Amino acid sequence: MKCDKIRELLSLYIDNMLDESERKAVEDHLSTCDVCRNEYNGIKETVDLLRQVEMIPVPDAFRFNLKKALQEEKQNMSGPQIVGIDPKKKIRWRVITSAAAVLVVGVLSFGFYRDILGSLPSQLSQVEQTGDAKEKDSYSVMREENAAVPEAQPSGLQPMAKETERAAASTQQDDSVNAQKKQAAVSDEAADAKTAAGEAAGNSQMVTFDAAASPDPNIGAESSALDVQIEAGDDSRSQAASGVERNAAVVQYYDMLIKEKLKGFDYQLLGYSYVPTGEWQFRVFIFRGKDGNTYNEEILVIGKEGKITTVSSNKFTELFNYEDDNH
Amino acid sequence: MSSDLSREKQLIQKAKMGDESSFESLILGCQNRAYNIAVRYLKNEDDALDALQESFIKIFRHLNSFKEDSRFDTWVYRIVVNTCNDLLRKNSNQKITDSIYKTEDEKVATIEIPDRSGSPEEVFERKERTEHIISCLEKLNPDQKEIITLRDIHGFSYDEISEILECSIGTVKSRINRSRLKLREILVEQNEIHNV
Repeated sequence: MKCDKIRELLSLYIDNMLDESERKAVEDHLSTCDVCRNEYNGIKETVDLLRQVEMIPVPDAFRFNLKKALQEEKQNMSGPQIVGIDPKKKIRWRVITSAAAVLVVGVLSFGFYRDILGSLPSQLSQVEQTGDAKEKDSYSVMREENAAVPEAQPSGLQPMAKETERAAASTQQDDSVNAQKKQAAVSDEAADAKTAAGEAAGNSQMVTFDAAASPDPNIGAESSALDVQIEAGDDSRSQAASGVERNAAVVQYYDMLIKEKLKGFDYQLLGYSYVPTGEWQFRVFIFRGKDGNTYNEEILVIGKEGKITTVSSNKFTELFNYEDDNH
Repeated sequence: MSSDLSREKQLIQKAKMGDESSFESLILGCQNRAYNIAVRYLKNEDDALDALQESFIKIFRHLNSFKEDSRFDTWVYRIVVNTCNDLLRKNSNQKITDSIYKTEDEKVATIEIPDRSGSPEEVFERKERTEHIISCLEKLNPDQKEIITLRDIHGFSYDEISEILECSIGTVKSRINRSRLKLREILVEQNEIHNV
């Protein structure tokens, strides 16, 4: 091999990146060629010098400052700048939940349930919202302690959540299906009874998906070149609102995937939220698995880019393994 | 190894849901390397800390765009590298007054180089050598300096570099070789200058 070719391979030789034949060729050449051997020694020495440059430890204060900055970031992210809402014309969707509304919708839904018992699909209808869909703080939405805070709940939701949770709490496994149906009944009728409940509640508004913001198409497009485009001032949250219908369709779509995946399971959707950078998160309570075992445990289903993944404890790993062909 | 991976996945999931302490645990493994990457780009520790924090916040903010079939740490380093390059571009018109390796007349190290054990002479010599090689490194163009730093100072593999810099392995190979040859030339020049 000629010297200029060898010269090109010296670094690779030093880094052990050559295949056997190339390596041998270089070694053979170096043993006979002084010029190239000097070059090799020179590079080797340079590399050795560089390798001695030491790592500097991160100052302790950094972790503390980072913690603070992360908490601030969380605050910023969970504020009312939700994807889908133009901050300039922020829609006032805060709803005051009154006890009357709870009672009325509870009564209404119970009545409807009686009428519709047995004929409802367990699939949630498009306005399936539970009290946990709290948009204000999409990160902490999944935390139980926030379920109690009724702030910014559409009036129809809170009572449904209570219905749901009461149903979940009091229900035994054989009742879970009924509870599910009840919820479905409530949800189905909530769509129709929205106005009624709203009026009954008086000073409350029925708000649907404005608060559950629409997926931001730009985030998806961004993500492949994210690291190039990320800048300090990047604010991908203020995108055009897409409206209620698209959100409803998305949730319905993921709900359908969940239903498919959880075929044979006794489960209940407890709530969902949208995280402003592209994921829908669904809290699902599993009463009983398709294997017949009781679980009574909550799992998380993440809907993203048209696919769902489950986040759950190890108990469920076996049960969910079949789903990998969905991905 | 696989349990590390699954632990990492769990942390990622929790962090995606907004759990900062999971995020902190997650990022802890990358922290030192990321910091040193920033230090070498920005040449002073304060700027490096700023860049590091900015990068980590970006990562936290955009965790959902992380594709879980790729490596988390190289994704982190990529973002740190890009943040540093952005900062450098922004400051390119300003004179960099904080450069630790100034001219021969005013060599002031603003980076505390940790002392390993050894006699004072050994420690001193090591510092001298480090300063010297770094000052030669600074004479390369940014692309050359960047790739040698990643390879020989930070110890990243060719594959990792290709992911971090988002270029092909072929490019990495030729860049590394050319840059080392160039650095070698500079070293030789400098030695000749010194020895005169």
